[in-house]
Amino acid sequence: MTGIMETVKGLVRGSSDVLTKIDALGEAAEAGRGRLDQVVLSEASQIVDRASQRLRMSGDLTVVALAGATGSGKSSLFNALTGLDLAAIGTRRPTSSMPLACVWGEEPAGEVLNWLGIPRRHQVQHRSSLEGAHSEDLDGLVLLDLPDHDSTEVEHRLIVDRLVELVDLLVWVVDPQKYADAALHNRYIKPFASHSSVMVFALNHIDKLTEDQRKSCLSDLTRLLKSDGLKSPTVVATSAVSGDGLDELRDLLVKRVSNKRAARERLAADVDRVSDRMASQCGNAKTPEIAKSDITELVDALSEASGVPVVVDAVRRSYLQRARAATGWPVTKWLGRFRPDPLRRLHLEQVPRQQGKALRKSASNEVSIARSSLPAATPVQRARMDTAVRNITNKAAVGLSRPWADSVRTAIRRREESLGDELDQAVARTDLGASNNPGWWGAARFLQWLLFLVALGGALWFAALLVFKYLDLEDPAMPDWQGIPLAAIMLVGGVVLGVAVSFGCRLFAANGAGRRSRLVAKALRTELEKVADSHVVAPAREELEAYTRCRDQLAIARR
Amino acid sequence: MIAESGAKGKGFWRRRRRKAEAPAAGTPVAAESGTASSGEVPVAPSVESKGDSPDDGKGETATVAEVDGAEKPVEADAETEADGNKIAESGAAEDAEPADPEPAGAEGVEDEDDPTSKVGVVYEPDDSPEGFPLEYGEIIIGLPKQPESGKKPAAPAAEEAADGSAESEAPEVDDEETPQASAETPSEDDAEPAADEAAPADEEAATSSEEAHPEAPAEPDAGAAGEPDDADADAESASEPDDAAGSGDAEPAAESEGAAETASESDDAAEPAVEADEPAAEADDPAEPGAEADDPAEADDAAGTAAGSGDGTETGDAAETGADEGAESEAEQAPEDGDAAGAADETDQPVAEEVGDADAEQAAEAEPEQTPDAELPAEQDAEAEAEDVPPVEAEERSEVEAVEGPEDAEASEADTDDVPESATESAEASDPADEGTANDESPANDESAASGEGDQGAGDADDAIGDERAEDAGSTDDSAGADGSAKDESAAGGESDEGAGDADDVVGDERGEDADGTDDSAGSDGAEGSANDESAAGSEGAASDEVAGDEGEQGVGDADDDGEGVVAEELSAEEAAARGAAEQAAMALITALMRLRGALASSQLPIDVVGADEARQEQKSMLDQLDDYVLPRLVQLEAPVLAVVGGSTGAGKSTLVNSLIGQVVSEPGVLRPTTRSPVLIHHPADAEWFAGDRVLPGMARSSGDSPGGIEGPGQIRLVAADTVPQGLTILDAPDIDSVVEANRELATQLLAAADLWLFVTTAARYADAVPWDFLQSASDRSTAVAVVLDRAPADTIDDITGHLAQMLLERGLGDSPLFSIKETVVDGNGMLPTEVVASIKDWLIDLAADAEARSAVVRRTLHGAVTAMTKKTPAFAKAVRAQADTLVELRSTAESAYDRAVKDVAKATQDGTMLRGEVLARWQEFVGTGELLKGLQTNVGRARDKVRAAVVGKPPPTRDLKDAVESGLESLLREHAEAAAERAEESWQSTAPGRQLLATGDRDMGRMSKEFPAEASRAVREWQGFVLELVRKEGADKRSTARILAYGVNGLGLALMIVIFASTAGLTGAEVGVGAGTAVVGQKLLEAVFGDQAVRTLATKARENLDGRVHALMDAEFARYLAVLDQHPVDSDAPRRLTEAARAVEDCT
Repeated sequence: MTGIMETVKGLVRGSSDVLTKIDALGEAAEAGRGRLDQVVLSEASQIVDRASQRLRMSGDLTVVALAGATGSGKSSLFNALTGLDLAAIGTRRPTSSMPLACVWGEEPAGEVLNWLGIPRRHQVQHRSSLEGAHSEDLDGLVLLDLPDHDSTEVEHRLIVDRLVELVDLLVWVVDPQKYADAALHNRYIKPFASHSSVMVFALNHIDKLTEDQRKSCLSDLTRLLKSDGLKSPTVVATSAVSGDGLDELRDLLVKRVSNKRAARERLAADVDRVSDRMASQCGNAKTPEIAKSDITELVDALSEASGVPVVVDAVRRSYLQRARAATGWPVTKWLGRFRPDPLRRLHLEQVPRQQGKALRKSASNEVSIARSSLPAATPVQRARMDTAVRNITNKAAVGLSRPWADSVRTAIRRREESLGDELDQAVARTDLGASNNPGWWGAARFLQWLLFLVALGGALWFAALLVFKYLDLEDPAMPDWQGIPLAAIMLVGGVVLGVAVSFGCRLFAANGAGRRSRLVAKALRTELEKVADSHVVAPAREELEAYTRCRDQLAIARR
Repeated sequence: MIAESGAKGKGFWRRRRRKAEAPAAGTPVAAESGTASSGEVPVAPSVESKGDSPDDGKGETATVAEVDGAEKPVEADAETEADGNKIAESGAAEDAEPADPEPAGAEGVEDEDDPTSKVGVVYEPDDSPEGFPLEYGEIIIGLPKQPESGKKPAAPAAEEAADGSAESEAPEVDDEETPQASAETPSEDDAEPAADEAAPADEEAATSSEEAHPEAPAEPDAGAAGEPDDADADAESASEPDDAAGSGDAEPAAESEGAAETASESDDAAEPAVEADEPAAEADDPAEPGAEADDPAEADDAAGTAAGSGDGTETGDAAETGADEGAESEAEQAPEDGDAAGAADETDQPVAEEVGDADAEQAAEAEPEQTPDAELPAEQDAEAEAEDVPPVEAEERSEVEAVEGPEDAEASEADTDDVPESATESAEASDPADEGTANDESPANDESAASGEGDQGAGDADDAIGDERAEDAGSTDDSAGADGSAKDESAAGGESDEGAGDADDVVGDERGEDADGTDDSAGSDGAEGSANDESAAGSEGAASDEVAGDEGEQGVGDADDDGEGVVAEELSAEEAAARGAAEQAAMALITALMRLRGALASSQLPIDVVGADEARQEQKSMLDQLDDYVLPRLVQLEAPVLAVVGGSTGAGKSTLVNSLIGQVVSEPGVLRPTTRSPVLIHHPADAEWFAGDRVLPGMARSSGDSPGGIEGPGQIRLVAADTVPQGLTILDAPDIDSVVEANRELATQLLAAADLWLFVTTAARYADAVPWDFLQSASDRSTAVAVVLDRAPADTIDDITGHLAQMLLERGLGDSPLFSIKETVVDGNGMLPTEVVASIKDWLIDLAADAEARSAVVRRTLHGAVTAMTKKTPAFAKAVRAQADTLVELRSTAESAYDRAVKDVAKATQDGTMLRGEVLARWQEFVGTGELLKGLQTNVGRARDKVRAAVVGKPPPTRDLKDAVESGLESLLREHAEAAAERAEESWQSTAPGRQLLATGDRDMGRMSKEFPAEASRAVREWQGFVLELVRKEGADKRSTARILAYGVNGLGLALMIVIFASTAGLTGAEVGVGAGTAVVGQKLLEAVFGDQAVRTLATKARENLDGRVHALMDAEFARYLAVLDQHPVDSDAPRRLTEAARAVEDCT
């Protein structure tokens, strides 16, 4: 869009303001696509297209159309303005069935006329046929004589409907009989109330009225037009028969043609009209913010629903268990093997550290991680999760107009479907440190074994002493320490120390388990925050950004 | 004959009805005719009256003619057929004419007549099909058309009648003369002519079968009327037949053939002539039947198929069988029988028709009976003719008909016999009973007449009356009973007229028709008819006096002779019944329309579905039209014609009105729109019609004389001006196309209330789309329209007028009068020069002066309006149904949203974790301290928490099982209530009607109601109370066990726990996670105490109770949506009522 506008720039003099408006309208329509009413959007993009087409064409031409009811004298006026007898004037209604065009000056108008859809045989180049007339001041004028809009011929109405959208300046030819027709006011004036500056009203046939009637008729017409919503309607009294008012109308046209602003004004009016309608849909509310606390609340609910407490607890217990297995007193620690690893039970322990890292690096890894055996969220948990999502949705949409609030809701709901699986994956790919054993476990184990061996040595020593005594062999010398035999010290000390170390390690392990579970909880939370962000917050923010853009661009377009 | 006529009459009506009922089946033409003739009885009495009146006027003649015709027709038919249709036509025409000059010179006349054979041709052919041109034409015809077609038949008849009357004044003389005349002229000529006529009629009927039908009703009557008079005057002479034939030509059709046969026979005898005449007359009558028969044939089929959906087929068969029989009988019986056969045929057909009608109406009941009847008639006719008829007719016609008389008599008898049957049949259907009696009586009359033959003419007249009555009865059966009375009256009148004088007769015929027309139309006819009937019956002398007819005296004499007093009384009774029936019919239509109005008014269109706006407008316009126009017009058909001047803004309506009136009553101007409040200009004598709220009751009246005054909208200014002809009112309406919406609406309403549109357009406007929309609607409902092309430039006026005329023609308004007014300078008062508006003025004055034309306009527009209404009603009913459907759909979407919430909650509580947990909690409560369990579940955790608290420094989250369950349930409920509200709101938001409803409702329809959380938590608490109670009952005897477990067997319990825990731990890790581990232990212990089954039962009971509460909660939420729906009530029964009401209206038209 912008590209087109760039190329167009300069073709129409001083059109930067219009271009800005059109650009803004295009942006707003783009931002609103899929969110605002399709009819309005397509109308907006039509106007943008039309504007770019019109602006690409000659900016020196001003297309003026004579429109009106059947029998109002459009063709007579056309002939009077051109000074030629071009348009067929008839008494049978309706008369003209095809638009007729007359071009003043040398400016090539073929492109414009093609765009308007005027057949070639209905086009006349004024210069060639009119010699000597003081028509210099009208150079650049393309005058159209439109068919009627109110006869029984539906085709005529369609032609008028199409051209009314395209021309730069509309001259509505009305007559004393028909100036108050609903067909005109309800169909063409009220919807184009914003086009006041590019519409002129010619009250024709005034030769049939007295002076007083003429005045009251004009003021009545003006009153009607104002009640239609036109701010300052331009009304001219004319008579193609007597020539009254023709000069005035002509001067008016000359003015419009010479300042060459009609096309831009027309487009600006179009943009205003559609952007007003869009703005009424879009609303003007301040963009809502998604508060940090709302996100925290959401993540809490998510972690609850995804079983994070269970996992954390499992991690803690698994750590303890493994610590006990590693650092426990060798004599009794084998008993621990009969308890299943909590993490294994949750199907979470098998993720080796390296794999976990790889997974974390590429979130979209094609390797489908087996779903964990985490307990499915209970209905209550799910309900809490849904409530949290709904809360954040409502907060994100607060104050927005209905279409935008809906779009926020829809965007979130679209992602919500996969939220459950996504949460499970998040848990599964988090490194729970199941295979990450602290170094002191080895030392402790070594110590345990050492103590165990010492105790065993002491025991063996005693056993050897017993054997010697039984064989009545010579007692080997028993070293002692302060009277206590060394073997006893070894045995008792080994056992006591082993148990003590075991308890000591358990304390350490408890601490370590707590630390590990906190770390895991933190890691899990981080993952869940990512999920919450990608599935709830980001879609909502995206919509809100689109809303902001649409609103701001519309403000520019309506400036 | 009587029977036939009656049958015909009935068939006619029925057909009408059928057509009306089954528009698809009936041909448009037929429908039109039906409307014009009979169906309209209620609506447009005038039409009926015409029909009746003719009968009346002709009544006597008609009766005679009918009798004769009935008898003779058969013969005549046979002959006619042989002779050839063309001849018949010419003959008929000729006959009619000759009759006028001299009944005797029938033969010679015939030849002469042949060339002039206008009557038959003129009437029937093309005029009728286009309802408007015909009626309107006739009416206006007073101006242009009359001379050509409409009047001719009547006029000649009148003349003839006059002649006849002159002769007939002396009834005896008449009789003598007639015999002679008949003997001479009739014999061959008449017979042939009759036959010819009949034949032509057949041809015509055949050719223009459908077209003829429509006319048939109206014209036949006229023709009959004309004929009757003649017949009376001639006393059955050929002249009558001629007339009858002339009139009847169109109708006779099949019957005419029979008539031809009779004619041939009649030729043989001198009397035959008379008979032939009679036959002709009969032929006419038959003609109707014939026409009907044709129609019937079609109608039967159509009706059989269409109307009598179920019954129809049977009836149709019956009709066919009857027809077949008739045909057979004809074939077999040949000439003599031919009459009977013809009669039989006729009768059969009518019967068949009747049957069909009866079927349509009565359905199954009528059918069985009718079919037998249909069969019977054929036989009976033959028999009856042989037996009964001979005496009566012989007596009546004794002198003249002697030979043939019997046959005729037979025919007539047969007819009469048939009639009774048919009548009885029809009686079954509706009024028939009365008619049946009437028919029965009629024979009596005939007999009496025969006995008191001193007055042959009278006798004939009586016979005729009898026949007529029979016919009337039949007709009454068919139509509404109103016809019957009218006919009776007419018969009486006819007699009296005849008695009075032929001249009178002539006039009388016309009058008779008129009178009938008025009678029918006004309903006062019924009164008159009754009066006549009464007079004739109760004291025939009085009747005759009233009638002021010589014949009346004769009739009296006859009546006396016959000792018909009784009969007369019976007749009167019949008439009274008939009259009552007529009134009933009229009332029936009004009642039906009132019902339709009620149905319309009670239909609600609160939802903005697609097309609702249109439907609302439709509703308003139909109601307005009913109130403003149709109902008041139906009640007072004699009110002045309301001509509404409508058209575009700036077309010069006000100027035109002022110019027409000759004074400024409406202010013209250059500012658009000019006229904002309507002005009604009436003749001072008509003021009473409009001062009240008879028409346009919704609009206030003001009588200010200020043109362009300050009347507010919705006010009508009444202006009395003696320049307006009496009987016509002009209403200057606002424009139809300006920006002032109120004007457009008002104009639309006023135009809908008009009897006649005076549609004004201009040279600049005549191709505008908006006015043509109006004209198209006028065309669609066949409103009477006159178009004025105003402000036409002098140099192009012809061109534009031609173009406009062409456009009118293309849009089905080719028959509308078109006036063009040149653009001229108005004078000082803003009026157009007199000569410019002269044509319009003259037209209006002529219209006002011609009562028939007026009534035709009224009837046409009225009927069009009623028909259009019945046509529009189904679409409207559909729109109303769409409303109901939309509401149902919206309701169901919202309901399903909440249903799903209930289901989801049920599902969430179904996995047992929550419920068992709840039961456990209640159990702990019940057991009291629940040390074991509590210890199990809390102590372990508490120690751990203490350690953690020591390490982390944070207080442990207290998590009580009960609280967990409670808040869990609550949050579950809240979530699902929220989700349901969101779903429901979303589904509504996705449709336009839903959005509309949401806009009227609570702002937060998409959220759960504010009270819901509190309600939910209360419900949960109550439910917990319920569960506690449940556990208490269940655990009463297990309490001690539990206490043992709880207190005494700690060790055992512990061990048990461990075992259970170990086993559970391996299997259901899920549950371990759920209940924080310990709940499972408790649950297991619980199961150990109660037994697994008991716990499960407890849980089930608890869940059922919970489901009930959830349901109640969600229902309360859903009630918010229901409340919104209830704000937009739609009666789902309304479409049915509308359809039924529309059908009832159709039945009455």
